[in-house]
Amino acid sequence: MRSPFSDAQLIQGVRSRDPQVLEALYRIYFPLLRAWISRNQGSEEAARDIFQEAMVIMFEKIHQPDFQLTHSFQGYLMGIGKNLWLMQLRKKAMTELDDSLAGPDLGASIADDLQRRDRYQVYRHHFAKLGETCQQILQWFLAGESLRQIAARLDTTENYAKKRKFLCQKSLIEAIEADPRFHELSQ
Amino acid sequence: MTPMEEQDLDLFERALAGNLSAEEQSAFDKQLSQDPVLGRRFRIFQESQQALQTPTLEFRQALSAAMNNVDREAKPIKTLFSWQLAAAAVLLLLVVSAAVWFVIRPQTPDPQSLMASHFQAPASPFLVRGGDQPDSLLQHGAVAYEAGRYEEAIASWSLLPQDHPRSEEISLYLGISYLAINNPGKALASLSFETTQPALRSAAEWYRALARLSSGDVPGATAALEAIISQSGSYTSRAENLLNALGKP
Repeated sequence: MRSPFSDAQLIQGVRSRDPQVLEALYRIYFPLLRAWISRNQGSEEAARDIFQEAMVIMFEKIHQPDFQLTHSFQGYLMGIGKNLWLMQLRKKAMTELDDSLAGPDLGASIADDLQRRDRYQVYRHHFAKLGETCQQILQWFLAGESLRQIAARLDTTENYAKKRKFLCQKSLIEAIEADPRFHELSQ
Repeated sequence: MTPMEEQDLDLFERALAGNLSAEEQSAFDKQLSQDPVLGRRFRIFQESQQALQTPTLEFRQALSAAMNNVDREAKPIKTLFSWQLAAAAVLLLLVVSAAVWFVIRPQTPDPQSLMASHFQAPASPFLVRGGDQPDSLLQHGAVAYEAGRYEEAIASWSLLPQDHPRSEEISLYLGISYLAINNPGKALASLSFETTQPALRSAAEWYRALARLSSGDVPGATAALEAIISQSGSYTSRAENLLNALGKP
């Protein structure tokens, strides 16, 4: 089955979480990935998880400021899915694989995307460990609220809001910096 | 390690917003190339903003809903396969021949209906009502859970770190949420956590029994229910009722 959407429409649809595009992607590409994973020791449920993760990586990649699709959408999505499954198999030390899934060898490019996905998980992990007020202040800041608006929400002065925001950002950055996983994933 | 200064963050913010003059930008670039600690912190600042701003959680929910829609549509299509038609025909014959048997003998409800009639999602302990409670993943999930938006609750709680101070309760309510959306496999996985808290252990055992029932594993569910009854805890009477309904008093 061919996609009724162009690659540019797929990218826009993923970016805007368009249900029609997401359903089309699942209808068309999931069976391909599932067939390959089932030939390589995976279950239907494992294939579903891998498809979801591959789509999330694609979504995060599309949100990168310097995003450029250098291969076809299908090739890239299949490449990510295949690499994700290979990583899981390697963890289980299973190595004999059917290598017939369509898609270019994206090697280093996908490795960078997977590493960035893992770094993002480290960031979110430390964000979730901040106090709830800190999480909220940073969310307001990231949503583009001014210090005056944040101060009003906290019923305090702008100077105090600025100080709190700095302390929250400092805690987050220093916690990430002290995490060995961040250093492993930055090499 | 040098502690971070407020002016570093001001500089990072202005640099990312493109608010540095050409002269400031050049000085900043030079600083970054000469000071690896500053460079690392700028990278963390920049990437963490991207990580936290990218609406990944909302995307996961939208994708999950889209996949479920397609799966629901796909189910009737499957019956078009010829071998399935043949199997359906055989099944129909069996059903017809067994009809008299069902008429003259009291029917035992099927495991799925039994599970549905005995399952109830309890209120989560995470929701703080009233007051100015800031939002967080835990709260976001709790609000969704209370509203019956279990997939959204799962998506939120799944992002919490495994070493979260309330990880055992989170696993329990994740398991209950999976049960509510009829995913007994993931429910069982979530409910199989170790705990020293008797109340959590009893609840997990009860919902594990329901998950087994939901997956059609009647012997497994029966054994789990018998174990609950033998412990005489707060789920004993519910387990007895369900065991009776299964026709195993």
